[in-house]
Amino acid sequence: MNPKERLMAVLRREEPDQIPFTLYAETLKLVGLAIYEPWRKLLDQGLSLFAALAVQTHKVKCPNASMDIMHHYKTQTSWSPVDLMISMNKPHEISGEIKTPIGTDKFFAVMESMDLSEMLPWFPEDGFFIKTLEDYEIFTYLIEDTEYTPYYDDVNEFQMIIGNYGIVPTFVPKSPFQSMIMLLGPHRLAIDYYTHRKEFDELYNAIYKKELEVYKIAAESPAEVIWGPDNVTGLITSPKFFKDYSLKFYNEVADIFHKHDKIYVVHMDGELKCLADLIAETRIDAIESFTPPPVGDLTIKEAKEKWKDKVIWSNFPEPVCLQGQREVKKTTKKMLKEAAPGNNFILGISEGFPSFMHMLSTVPNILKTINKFGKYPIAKE
Amino acid sequence: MTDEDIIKKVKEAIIDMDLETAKNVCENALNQGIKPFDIIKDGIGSAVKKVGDLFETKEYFLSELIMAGEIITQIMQILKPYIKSDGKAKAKVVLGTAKGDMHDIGKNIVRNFMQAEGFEVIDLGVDVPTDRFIEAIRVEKPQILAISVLISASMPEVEKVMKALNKEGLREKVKVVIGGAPVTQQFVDDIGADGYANDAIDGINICKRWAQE
Repeated sequence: MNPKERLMAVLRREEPDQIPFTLYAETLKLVGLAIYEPWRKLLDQGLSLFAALAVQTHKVKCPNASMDIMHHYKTQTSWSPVDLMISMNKPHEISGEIKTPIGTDKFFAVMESMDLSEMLPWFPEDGFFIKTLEDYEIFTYLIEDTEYTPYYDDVNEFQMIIGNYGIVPTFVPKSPFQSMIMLLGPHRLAIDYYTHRKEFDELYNAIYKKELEVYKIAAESPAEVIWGPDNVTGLITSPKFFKDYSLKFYNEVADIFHKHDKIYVVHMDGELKCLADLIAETRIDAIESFTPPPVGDLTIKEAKEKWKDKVIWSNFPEPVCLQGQREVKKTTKKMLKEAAPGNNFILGISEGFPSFMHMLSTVPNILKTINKFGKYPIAKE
Repeated sequence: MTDEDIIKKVKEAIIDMDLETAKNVCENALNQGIKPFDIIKDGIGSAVKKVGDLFETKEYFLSELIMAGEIITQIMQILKPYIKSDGKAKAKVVLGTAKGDMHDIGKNIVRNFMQAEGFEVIDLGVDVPTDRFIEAIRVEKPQILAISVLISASMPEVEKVMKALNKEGLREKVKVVIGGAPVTQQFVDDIGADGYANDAIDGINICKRWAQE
């Protein structure tokens, strides 16, 4: 099997020839793939690409609202246009203003890099979009003003570029509750949930209704796989939140996707032990970026027992690489053993490494270990 | 209603995440002549313990820790004018996130709860470079240094702080606790820190233990 066939076999719950090993295409960057020989060799040796952030199947506009963004480079300046181009990709601050007929909202973000595949902007605690009760009205207006139109051209084009080295899903917006976390920040989310439930629920319902539109567009796209970048962790999305807010949405959109023969993959990279039973109740096909201990709190064995019908797309816990390559190999073998015989299981790397050099030594090591010990079926101990 | 009943109501309001009731009961308590120290010790203090217990048994989660912290912060604002400090904190703690890490949720929870527990907290904020940690330890002379890390890319920065503490001859003067999602006991042992905090409550318990030593 080639990497694409291997990956799709598992996602369709069929038997692969060996455990697929995936890396986000964005981590390597396509240009890096094209010119850096060691990466090309790894692809030929079985490394699969998952182009998680490459394609969306919709275009968006808000006819009655606008957004202006300013990038602040402060003393990182130069007379040279080339230097300025380089500065743009360095850490800097961003401030922005969203204007709607019913009010204006300002935001402030710290951008680590312009390249979204490297680091998303982190909004400081006082810099999330929704900071006051008035912002709820502005954002509800903005959400309701949003118009989505299908745009399917990129799916086939990107799949052509990736070829048989991996798959290109379409990525949809974060599910409504995860979007609430991004808009409010974990601090305000908690405070407003307990002190302004009416406004909280009205905003949630507006997001829910609007997101159904864009998820339906994705369902009708040519993409075989739909990826939800939800970053679920039980620490913030507690069982109460998951049950009251997330569960219904996941199942409603999963049914829409399945009607169109799509595979629904959701990124859940945090502590999932407290959510394991609730996740089992969802009709999501694959839990991607599932992270076992020492970063997460649910083992692969426990996850397999809880989620018998789901694909566990496990993230290799990246802090292990700080303990050296012997430990990386040992952990890979342990993960494969836990996943034995290996059905419904993918091993991947979905989070950042402490450094590029760590990635350079860890990825080939994991791939080599899988190629040696990850042939399907893996013998159970 | 007895003083004990009122203090119990403060505690219950915090545990029930009821901000308005907590504030109202607290004001009533002061009007009734209850000493702020008793409200803090028997109301807030026992609520902090209960919320911590509920967090550890996975009945409460981050939102509840944040909300409890917010209620405590607002109650403390009400109590502050009535408190005559004896100037004795349990211990002094320098707190911050490692360089490159902008995530302050965990750090802020630790700060709020520590303050409620009677620690003096010097909060250096987020993205703190090694030299600022070192300077703060030199100037503030804390008993404890607490570093929060959420992204693995910042873990090597914590190691740099530990090396700098050794180099500057400050290592023996301060206990170091490290916490955050990617941190493991193995990592803490490897870099030679004193304590591994599995979560915010764990971190506070470790500091309380050290303060009693």
